[in-house]
Amino acid sequence: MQHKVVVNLFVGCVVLASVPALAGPAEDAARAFADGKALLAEAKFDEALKAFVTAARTDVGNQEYHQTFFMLRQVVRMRKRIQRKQGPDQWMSMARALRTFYHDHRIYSESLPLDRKIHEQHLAPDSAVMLAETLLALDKSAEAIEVLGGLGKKDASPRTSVLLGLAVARQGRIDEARALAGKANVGNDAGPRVFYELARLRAATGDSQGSLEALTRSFELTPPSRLDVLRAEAKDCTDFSAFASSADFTKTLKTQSSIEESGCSKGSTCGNCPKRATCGCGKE
Amino acid sequence: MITARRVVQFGFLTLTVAGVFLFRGNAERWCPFGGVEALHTYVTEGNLTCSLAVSNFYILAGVLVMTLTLRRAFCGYMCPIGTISEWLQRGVARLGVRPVRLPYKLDRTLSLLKYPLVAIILFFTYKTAELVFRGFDPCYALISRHGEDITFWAYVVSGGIIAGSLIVVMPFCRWLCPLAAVLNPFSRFGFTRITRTEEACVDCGKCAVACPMAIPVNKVRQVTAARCLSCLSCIEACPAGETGAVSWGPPGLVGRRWPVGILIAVLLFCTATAVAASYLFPLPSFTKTRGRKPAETATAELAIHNLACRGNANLLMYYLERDDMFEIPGFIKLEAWPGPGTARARITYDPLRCDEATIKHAITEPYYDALGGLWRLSPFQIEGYDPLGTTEGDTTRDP
Repeated sequence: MQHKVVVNLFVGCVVLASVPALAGPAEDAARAFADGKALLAEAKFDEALKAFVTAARTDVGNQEYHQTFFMLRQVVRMRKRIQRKQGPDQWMSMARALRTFYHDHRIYSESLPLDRKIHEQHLAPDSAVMLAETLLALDKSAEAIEVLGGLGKKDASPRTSVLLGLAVARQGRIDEARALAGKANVGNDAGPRVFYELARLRAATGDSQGSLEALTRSFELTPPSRLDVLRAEAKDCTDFSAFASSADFTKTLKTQSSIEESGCSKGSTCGNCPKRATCGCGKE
Repeated sequence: MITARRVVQFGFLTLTVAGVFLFRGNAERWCPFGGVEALHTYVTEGNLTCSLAVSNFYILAGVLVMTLTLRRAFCGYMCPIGTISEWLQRGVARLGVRPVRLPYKLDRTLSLLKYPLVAIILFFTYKTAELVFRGFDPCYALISRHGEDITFWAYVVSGGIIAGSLIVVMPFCRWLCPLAAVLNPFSRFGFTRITRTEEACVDCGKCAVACPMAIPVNKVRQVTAARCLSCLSCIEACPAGETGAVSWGPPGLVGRRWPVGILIAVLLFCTATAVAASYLFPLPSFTKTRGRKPAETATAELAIHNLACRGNANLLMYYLERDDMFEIPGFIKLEAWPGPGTARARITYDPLRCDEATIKHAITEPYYDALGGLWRLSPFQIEGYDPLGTTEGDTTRDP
């Protein structure tokens, strides 16, 4: 009897001792990954890259770690390459790719010099909008007004009006912002980003109901694969802080996309795939 | 000889059902009509309609050889729809329900329906490069285990075939089957024939009654009708069988009773050869080329994970044709064998302008899609290639 108890205790100890050993690599990888994300948020690219590769090497089967590492590795390469002399098209292509990455990861301080340079080269409504977006994200509303105000009447669009309204609201000129919101003329065919910014503008002018309506429309127009990024952005957006804890806002965050997006189900054969006819090349 | 045919029918039906339901295989890749449907896209674009494979071409070739030799023996011995349809009728006949025999002219008119039907199917399939009618296909409803794109109409058609088979012998095979429409011109020139020796015939008409395709065997010297299944029911029904009133065999060599084993042996040989060829000579089911072929080329044979279908092969080509810092300069040809798990891909390139490492980078590195304004992560992993190898930002390779 005593012998059995000893054996059981021994087996129990062995099992208990092996649990941390088994859980170890995954936990280490998760920690390294979290560190990498924190470093990336601080724009410490090389350090973040090292943390991500540690995570990917420690937990070999985790695709998220791998993909995040691949992406950052390419961004780091691009950051070095963009500083070298090259053709304007190549530079622009890389600048836009980097800007997208910075905005996806909300590293706006890195985006600003790029946006300024893009706008300097182009002086187009598009580049003005990009620069204004970044300026607003960095709370530089006065400069955003200057950039958007510099556009001619023919270059004005619902998006520029909305962003201008938002910048004006940030300056405390609420009535003027409300007037711009009214004049923005955002049609149903506008993109999700325009509706998102309209939601911010309405929130900044105190129109919470209108803001939630625009936010709902924005979510509906966003492709399913991009919805989580936008939801996270909305959650953290200070413009919505006045009603961020309300049930209506929580409900709005759950809005589903109405956009059909192709995607392979990764089944063993296309035979049973309902998207068989439209999967195409995965580009849409 | 009828028993031998039933054994073969039972064997192929069991093989189909077991393959589909027990081994959960993709039976579509063995459908000869799939070969007809895929032909145009393969010839013009170098790739196959989704879910079809090069094996469809081999099995189609096997069935065509079979048809040139044995007429439409495929329909009478191998096709699961033909077997089910025929057996249903025989089942109710045992219960005393006699099959309805339509007037000859009406039967012939109805049998013309399959030609416009196949024309419509092939026109839209070739135009869209998709199996647009698959959702309505009763055979697909069976072999896909009720695939997700099956429509209600597939079951309406199935119900119609079942109900029709209870009162008429093999109505679908006679009037509507699109594969039959494709095989008939070949069957017309079929090598073996049913021959009636008038001197020995007692004019009882039993051969015509027994024919599942309603061929008036008792009124012709030689059965030239393309719809002959070589089922040999006419010979079996002939009371003067032993004297050779109705016989089957190659022209000039009739009048003697050829063993049915020869027919079955040819049938199995054609099938086995087609199946073996599809494994021994696996042509790529996806081929795309970019640029002009240089004097000297090199090839990279890669085993790629997630290259499951034509859509993925298109996506792989998209990565090979990328125009960012991982762009592959010069000529590129992709030949792929998409499939579940790890699939094979052969990439031909200009060795003077790029190397295998460039190709591997292009396949696995994230890509910025300027049109969509977003980053795309590569879903592909190459066996034996560790992309983590280049850990630093710019150390190993700066394209």
